Formats: sequence, C-alpha cells, structure tokens
Amino acid sequence: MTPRWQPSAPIENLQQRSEILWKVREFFRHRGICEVHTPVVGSNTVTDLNIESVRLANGNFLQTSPEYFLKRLLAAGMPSCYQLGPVFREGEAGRWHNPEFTMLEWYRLGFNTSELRQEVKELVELVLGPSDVSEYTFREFLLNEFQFDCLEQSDEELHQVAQTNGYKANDRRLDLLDFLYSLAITRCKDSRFFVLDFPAESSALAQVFEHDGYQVADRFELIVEGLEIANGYNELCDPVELNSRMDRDQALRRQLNRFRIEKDKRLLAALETGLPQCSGVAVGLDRLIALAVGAETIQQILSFANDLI
Amino acid sequence: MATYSTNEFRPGLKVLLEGDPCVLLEAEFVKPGKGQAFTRAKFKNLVTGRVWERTLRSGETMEAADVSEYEMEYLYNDGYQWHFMRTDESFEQFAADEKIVGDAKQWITEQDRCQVTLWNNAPISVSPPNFVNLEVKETDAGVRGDTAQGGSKPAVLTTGATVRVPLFIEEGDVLKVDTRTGQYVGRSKET
Repeated sequence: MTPRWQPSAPIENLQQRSEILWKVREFFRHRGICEVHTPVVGSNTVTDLNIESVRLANGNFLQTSPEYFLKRLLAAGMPSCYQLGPVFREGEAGRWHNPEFTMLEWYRLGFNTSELRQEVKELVELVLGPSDVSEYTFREFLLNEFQFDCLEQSDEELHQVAQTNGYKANDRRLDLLDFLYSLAITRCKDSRFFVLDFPAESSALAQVFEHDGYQVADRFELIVEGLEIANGYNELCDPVELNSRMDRDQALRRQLNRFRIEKDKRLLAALETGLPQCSGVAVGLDRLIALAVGAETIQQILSFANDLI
Repeated sequence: MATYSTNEFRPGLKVLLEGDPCVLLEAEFVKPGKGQAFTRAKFKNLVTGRVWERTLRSGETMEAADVSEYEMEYLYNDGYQWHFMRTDESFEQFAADEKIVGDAKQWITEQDRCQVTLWNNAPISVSPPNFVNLEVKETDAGVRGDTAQGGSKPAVLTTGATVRVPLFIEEGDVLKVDTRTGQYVGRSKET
C-alpha cells in the first residue's frame, strides 16, 4: 500500500495561513516591535512540571517556548521584541495539539498586563475580526461555573466538585483546579474572554501580588471559541524568586519520578544583571489560524501534522 | 488483567468503568498550557445504554472488559427467558432474561438473527435485526382515500409492539419496521 504522502491541510488553508502570517508581521512592524530568531535547540529547558521537552540524543532540548532566550535578549538591552516560529512539546497530540506547533511570543517593555491584553485583543481582531472580549478573574470563573471558591474552599470540597463533574483521580489541589478550569472553558458561552489573576501556585514565571488579602499571579489567558489561545504574564524579574521557583519545580519532579531538568544558569545570570519590567505573552498561532479559516482541528492548517512526518 | 492507558484510547475500546462494561465512544486530549494533561472521554455503558462523560489524567489506565458480540439466532422464549444460539456452528446457546432483552423483545420472532453482547461469557444486551417483518394483529378499520394528508393510526403487531402506520393498513398485513426508530417502513413483499 502506498503510504499517505499528501499534506494534512488543504492547500487553500495553507495559502490563507500565509496571508495571516503577513498580517501578523505587519502588525508588529507598525508598532516598532523587532522580530528575533532564537535557537530552537537549547542545552537548557523549562523546569515546569506540566511541560515535557523533547530531549535529543546529545542531551539538548527542543525548546518549548523561546521565553528563556528572549529574556536574555531583553536583559542585554533588546527593546520590545517578538518571535514567531516552531516550538515542541513531548506527547501533546490531539485534535487541538501537535507536538510541534507555531508560537508567537512577544515582550513589551514597561507594559502592565492590562495594556498587553489590549494589544492581544487587537492582534486577535486583526486575524478573526472584531468581537467583544469579556474578563473574569480565575476565582470568578470557577465560582460562576461550579459555585466553587478556589481561594476559600477546602481540598475536600474541591474533590467533591471534581467528582460530580466526572473526574475521579485523587490529585493535587492544583491539578483539580486545572481540571475544573479546562472544563469551565468549554462551558463558558462567551466567544472571547480573558481569565486573569490565576492562583499563585500556577504563576509559572509571572509576578505574584496581593489582592483582597490573597496571593494571585499577574497572569492571564485568552480563550476564543473554547480554545486556549494566549497566556501572558507580568514577567518575574527577581532572580532569587525565579531560583526558588525552579528549586520547587525540581523537588516536585523528583517526588513524581520525572526527568530531572537542570536550572538554566544563563537565564538566572541575566536576571541578576537585570531584566527590565515587562509583560510578555505567547499565542498559539496555529489555533488562531485554524479559527480564522474555520478548521475543526489543528491538523487542518498544518502542512504535515505529527502522523504524517 | 489487561489494561489500556489513555494514550491507547480509540473508539470501540471495551473497558470497565465503575465495575460496568463500557464501550469508548470518543476521547479527546485536553491540556491547559500550564496545567496537567487530561483525556476527556465518553463511554457508553453496555448494560444500561447510558452515556457517561469522564475525564482521566493522561497516562491513567483502565481495565479492559471481556466483551464480545456475536450473531445469534433467537430460538424460543420459555416464559422466563429468551434463548439464543450462535450462528457460527458452535451451536453454543445462551439465555437472557427480560431485563437484558429489553426493547428487543417487542421486535423479535423465532429464527430472527440478533446481535448478542456477552460480558464474561454472559449476555448483557440484545439488538434486534435493523429491519423486521411483522404481521398486524390489531388496527382500526382503514379510512381510505385520505392518504394525501399523511394521516396515520396505531397498529399493534403480533409481537406486541405498536407502530404508527398509514390509514390503508389492515389487520393481517405484514409490515416492514425499522427497529432502531420503531418506524413503519412499508408493507412487506415477503408475505
């Protein structure tokens, strides 16, 4: 039998994809934001527990996002900049996931997250056309959907809510919140919305601040038509705090028998020198393109998806 | 005991969910960018027919259910149980009670070929043939000439099932019925 050699996407979708890439690059050019290319292969990678990097035979990693390299550029004096290119995540394959995908990531010096959200909204409107965008805090979002208060209610109550909604695994609090969050996304009727102020434990590389007596992460996500499109932070600039978060990730990885990821000493050194205050966001560009062309899977806008490479 | 991990999930897989045999209808990989990966799945309970939605942690495993489906000939009803025999010349017979035969009982007549699902070698469900031919036992006398308006009336068949039929159908007619919808298809030519 002849193997399937034809592309995953219809040719017209790839042509539309090209048009969108032009528009996106023009968007940044108009705003004076510099396009940069950083390595796809690095000797370090993210320590985050829920992001698995593809490890190469020589011990290097395919990058899961250009974040570390871009921050090193910013610390070296690069003004606001963006990268548009492939990133890789081990094991992420499904209707809306491909292990290799296109990430559009940019950093804005001096921006707070509210200013960056406005810019994200404009970029999305450029690709998908205008539409209202609502905003919910993470807490409100779960309260609306499950009448569950993630800041006040106990682990036991959280388990109860997760169980009633079809999730029986006995997980850590944060994992159960992820479950509720991903379910709430599919249920929310708004076509576009931001979720802000995530629990401090899922801050990743976002700054944490106090709000109504609670610690929350200055982080947002944009959801469009039930799909997670963007994830942005007011970037953590404190090297001591970054170091301790990496220690925490490593301890968790050890506890869960995961592969050990060394801390990126060059990133830490860059932060020692000084990362200027900035906000940054990563957009899953393939998904955005898929929405623009009316595709029903990410594969329909990829030239060759994972099953055909 | 065989198990399946979520990354082996594909539609049609038979697994045990809360002790009941289920068939996997669909599964989707879900992962928040910064969160853990999940598999969102729909299962059909093969005993009750109910559809269950469940989310599993990616990599979690489920026990395989020993479920198989055979074509069997319906032999007879002894008043308590319905008896079936495999059509593959093994002549193996199985008995199913009313709860298991369920809706199928209002459609099947002896010698009909049914799909019987076995779990641990015991029947758990019976599907009638998609189309059956059954005689009308009772229906009101036809009011002719009114078919243009698409009028219909109930007719009771020999098996006890009631279907809606056009007005011209009379007692003794043999009808072809779609058992999946319970709808009248036409008059049978095999009378």
